[in-house]
This record gives sequence, structure tokens and C-alpha cells, in this order.
Amino acid sequence: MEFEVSAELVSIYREDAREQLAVLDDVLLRIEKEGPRPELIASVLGPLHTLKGNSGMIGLSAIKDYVHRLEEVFGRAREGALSLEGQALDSVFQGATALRDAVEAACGPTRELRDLSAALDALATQLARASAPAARQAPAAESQPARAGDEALGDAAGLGSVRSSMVRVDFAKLDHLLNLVGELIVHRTKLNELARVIADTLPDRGPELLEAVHQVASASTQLQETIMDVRMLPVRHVFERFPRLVRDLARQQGKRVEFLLQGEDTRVDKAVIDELGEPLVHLIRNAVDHGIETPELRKARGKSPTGTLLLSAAQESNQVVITLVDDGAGIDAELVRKKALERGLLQPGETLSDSEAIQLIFSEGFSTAKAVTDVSGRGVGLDVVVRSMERLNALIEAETIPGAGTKFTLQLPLTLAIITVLMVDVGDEVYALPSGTVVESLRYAKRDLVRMNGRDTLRVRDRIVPFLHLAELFGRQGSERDWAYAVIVGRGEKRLGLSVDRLRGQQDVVIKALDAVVSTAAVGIAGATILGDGRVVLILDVASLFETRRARGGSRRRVTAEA
Amino acid sequence: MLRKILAVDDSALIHQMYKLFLSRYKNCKLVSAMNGLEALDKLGQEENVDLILLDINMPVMNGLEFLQRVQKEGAYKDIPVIIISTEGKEEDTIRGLKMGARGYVKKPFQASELHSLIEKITGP
Repeated sequence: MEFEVSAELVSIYREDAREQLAVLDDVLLRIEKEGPRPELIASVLGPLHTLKGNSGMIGLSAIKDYVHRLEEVFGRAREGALSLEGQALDSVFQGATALRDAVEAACGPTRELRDLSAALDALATQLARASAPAARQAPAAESQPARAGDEALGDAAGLGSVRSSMVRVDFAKLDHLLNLVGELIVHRTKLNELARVIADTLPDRGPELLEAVHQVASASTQLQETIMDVRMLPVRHVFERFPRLVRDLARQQGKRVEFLLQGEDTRVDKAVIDELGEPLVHLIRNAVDHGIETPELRKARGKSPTGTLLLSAAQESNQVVITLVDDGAGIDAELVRKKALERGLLQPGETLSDSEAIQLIFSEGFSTAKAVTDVSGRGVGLDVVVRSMERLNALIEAETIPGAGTKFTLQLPLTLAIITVLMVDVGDEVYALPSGTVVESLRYAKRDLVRMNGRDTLRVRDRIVPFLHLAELFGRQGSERDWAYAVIVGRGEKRLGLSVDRLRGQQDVVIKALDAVVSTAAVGIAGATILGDGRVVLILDVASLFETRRARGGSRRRVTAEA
Repeated sequence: MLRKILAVDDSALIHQMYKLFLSRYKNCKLVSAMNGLEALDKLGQEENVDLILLDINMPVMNGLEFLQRVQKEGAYKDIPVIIISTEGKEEDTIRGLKMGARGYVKKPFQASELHSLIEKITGP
């Protein structure tokens, strides 16, 4: 190549390729369900053609050649010379996977070039099989003029007209915009206060000043809302690759799974979307691997041989709730208890209700898989999901009915840039706790604290919750009263009580990341935000508060226990 | 001297490449359209387009339809068109050339190929 393929070009290429491959996956799944209808096949030809051109331009000739073959296969299928069913469809499915891997590898940090020759051979075999009867049917020279590009593209017409009014924007620019708006909003509050003071001293022009400030305030609110809106993408972007995943997993394991999607249009901040894929893949793998039974077992249990897996998303006030429900075997609480004991996650003599025991599956180092399969048992358990949830300030919960199925519920914030926090006073300082991690807050009498294993704990209804005195942690002087407030925060199944002197209420704040030096030095701090009066408020990192406790409180992982 | 080039392609990547490749022509403005219909719009808005780089396979209105419209309407029919073709669609390129396109480059093309063809058609 005589030009350098810059990171920018590669990222444009990858974005495009992902869209084109998503169309390919979608069409393949529909062909499998509805049969190889010509108009269905035609709808994939345009995206494939563009992918071929792009791959060539960027110097990825193996990918270009493969897509070219794929085009031929679909072309022949559209003419009816090749039947996209059974083995032929399978080899195209496999090819699509190889192709996606090759694109991701080529665009990855190492720009690895994958060898696609095996996949290419598989397609060539299918083509060879098709070409013999086709050649007899119609001489190639005659059939060609009829195959003009316009016909193939008719189906995509609606899509194109939408696209032409769109502009691509680098996400970093949106981030920057949001940061600027954050500043604007911080200063707006200050401006408001100043204007009110000054307006009082300027009786003739005061109202004018207040009106102008009010206009600025209202415009900046709208600006913030608009920018937040621009950053939102439908969860479809994450969900669209799952039907394929479920299909492949089910096939690998000889299971039958009907996969249903709901609420794909629910919109979430792109930063959340980016973090969401991995934990969901994990949960889905887990559901197909451990949840849904084999058709034989299902029949024996009086269920339909085909299992159902439902992934849905919905917005509930300023959260997005994602649920994954399967009608499989459910989680055996007794088995979980046994495993937890073996792994030292549960102490002998500790008793847990079934629903509490179930939450142990999220603990580090827990996995109930009987054998390591290449599906979900790769030595990692659902604690990976918990860690992703922490990065997102989200909560996860499992519910199960043995023999009937399992439901995972994920509660996610709509955005990572602006979060709702609970403001609390500790001594004379104000701290902020991400509301997503707060389970409840309550007033308690200091004499109700019970010392267990050298640590303070508080009984909250039927649960003994370990306690952390924030004043102590941050070297502040707490209040002298004989009562205080406790904010109960959650991390997976765990709960931790934080003692604070005052609850100030909830507020939306724009997170400012602290620079690396500050954040590694300060335990338990996730970032900071600036209040309207210019005061910097630290946002507590709840996950690391659990860690702090662990480091101080000895080796026991589990921090909740019944008395 | 080139003043304005209209590039018509449905791929954002190709547009980025044009930006890169055509940066050698100083003071030359690059106008982008994602399909034939958008290209017709752009022709209506922009004055003095010197050259059109035309992809064939595009949604909404493909390159051949665009060429047909340009030839029929007459106002733009003297603007030279270079077809940017892709492997496997040779017959479309031939149709395009028959409809009045002045030359073609096949994807993947190198900057030098594009430059020499542009200069052959519009002069250095």
C-alpha cells in the first residue's frame, strides 16, 4: 500500500463492517427460519458488496476474496442454482463467523491477518456443487445482462434514504461536548446566585438581568438533554448478535432453544452499551449451558422439548432494567450451598435462605459447572458479570424456581457521564454515593451496633450487615450524637452499611474523573463532582469500600451472614 | 485546474480515502454524496463541479440510474464521470462507459491510479 492505513480509517472500516456483518447474520437467521426467499437473499448483496470494496481498499485482500465468494454463493442462491439449506447454509453460517473474527482481528491492536482459506474452500465446495446443474440450465453469458445491480438493491431503498440525513461523529467529541455542558451547568448555578444578589442592588435593570440568566439556564438544560439524547443508542446494538450466539450454543450442545427479544429499542448511553455486551454474553452462555436442559430431559420432565430464553429491556424512570429469563432447570440452592462450602465462600454452620444462597453464584471463584465445557465453563464464573456491573454502577439479582427456570435482573443507569447520587455528610465534608448502589438508608441508634468477629455489624430486619464508619475511614470527626444514619449499599449479593451524619438527598451530577495519582492514593473514591457553589464533592467507589473492608476484616469474603 | 470533485459512494470509508488521496490537489473542494439521489441534490447546490467519482452499487439510487438521469437532464452531462467499480460487477462498468462515463478505476485502487486517470481526463 502506498498510503498508511491510519487508525481512523481502520475504525471507520470496522464500524461499517460490523453493520454489514450484522445484516448478514440477520439474513442468515431469517433464511434458516423462513427459507431462502430471493428478496431476503437480495437484501444482503448490497452490504456484502460494500464490505468487499472496503476490505480491498484497506488492504485486507483475504477478507475481500472471501466476501467475493460469499457474494457468488448468495448470487447463485438468488438465481435458484444453489439451495441455501442444510449443509450449504451451515457452511455459510460458519463462514460468517470466520469472517467476523477475521475483521475483528484485522482491526484489533495487532492488526492480525487471519487465514480464511479453510472457510473459502468450504464455500468453493458448495459453489462447485451448485454450478453443474446451473450451467446446464442457463448459459452464463445469457443470464448475465439480466443481473443488474439495481434489482439487487431495491430492498435496501428505505434504509438508504434515512442514512443520507445522518452524520457520523467521533464519540470522543460527544464526550467533550458533554463535559463542556457539565461545566456550563455548574457555573449556571453560580451565575443564578450572583444574579439574584446583583439584581437586588440594581432596581431598574435587575429584572432584565434575572430574565437573561433564566434564558441561559433554560437553554443550557435543553443543551444537556439534547447531548445526552445524542449519546443514546438502542440496546439493539448489543442484542443483535445474540440470536446467532444462542443458535450456535444450542447446536453445539444438542439443545433446542427459542430465543425471544423484547424492547430492543430501549435507548441507553453509548458508554453503557459498550460495557453491556460482555456480561450479557456471559449470562446467555450460562443460561444455555446450565439453564436449559437437553430435549430428552425436558420431555422426561414434562416440558416442551424446546426451551425458551427471553431477553428484554425496558426503561424505568432513570434506569434501564434488562432481564434474562429461561424456562430451564433453575438453580439448585442446595448444590450452591455445597459448592460454596467447598470453595470456602460459606462457613460451616452459616445458614442462608434459598434466595440468599442463590446470590452466591455471583461470588468470585464460584462455578457449578460439573465439567469444564467450552461454553461457559472457562474457569470464570459469574463474578465477571458482577465486575462489569460494578463498572456500570449497576445491580444484578438472580431469582429461580427449581425445575421451572431462572431470571436474572440487571438494573443499569441510563448514562455513565451523569449519575444520580445520594449526598451525605460525614463530619463537615459532603460525599456522594451512586444511587444505583444504594439499597436503602435508615436511622439507627449507635447502641444497636453489635461487635462480631472484631467488626461492627447492624441488624437490618433479618439480615446482619457489616458496618463501615466513613468518618474513621476518611479521618474525619463524626458527630457525637447517640444516633446516626446508615446507608446500606449493595454489591452483588453483599451488603455493607456506611455510617454517615446526615442525608442530604439525591441529585444528578456530572462525573469528573480524578487523575490517576489522586485516585490510586485515595481509597474508596471513584471521582469527583463540582457543586453549584464551586465545592468539590468526592464520589465514593462502593466496590472498593467492600474491598477495604475485606482487607481490614480478615480473609472472609462473605460479608453478610445471619445471626 | 480542478476546483470541485463530487464523490458518490455509500461507504464512509471510501469517502475518507478520497479525502486522503485527493489532498494533493490544492484548493480543490471535495463534495460527498452517499447515493445517486444525494449526488443529484449536490449537483443542484454546487456550482462548477469539475469531476464526478461514481460508485455503481448504492442504495436508493445506484450509479447507473444516476448516470441516466444526468444524461437525460443535460445540464450536467458534460461533467466528466469516473466510475469506481468493484470486482464481480464488470458488466455494470461497461454499461456505465457506454452511457458516457469517461473512465474507470477498480476497487481497491491506489492513489497513483486515481491521480493519473484524473489528470488524463481533466488535465494536470
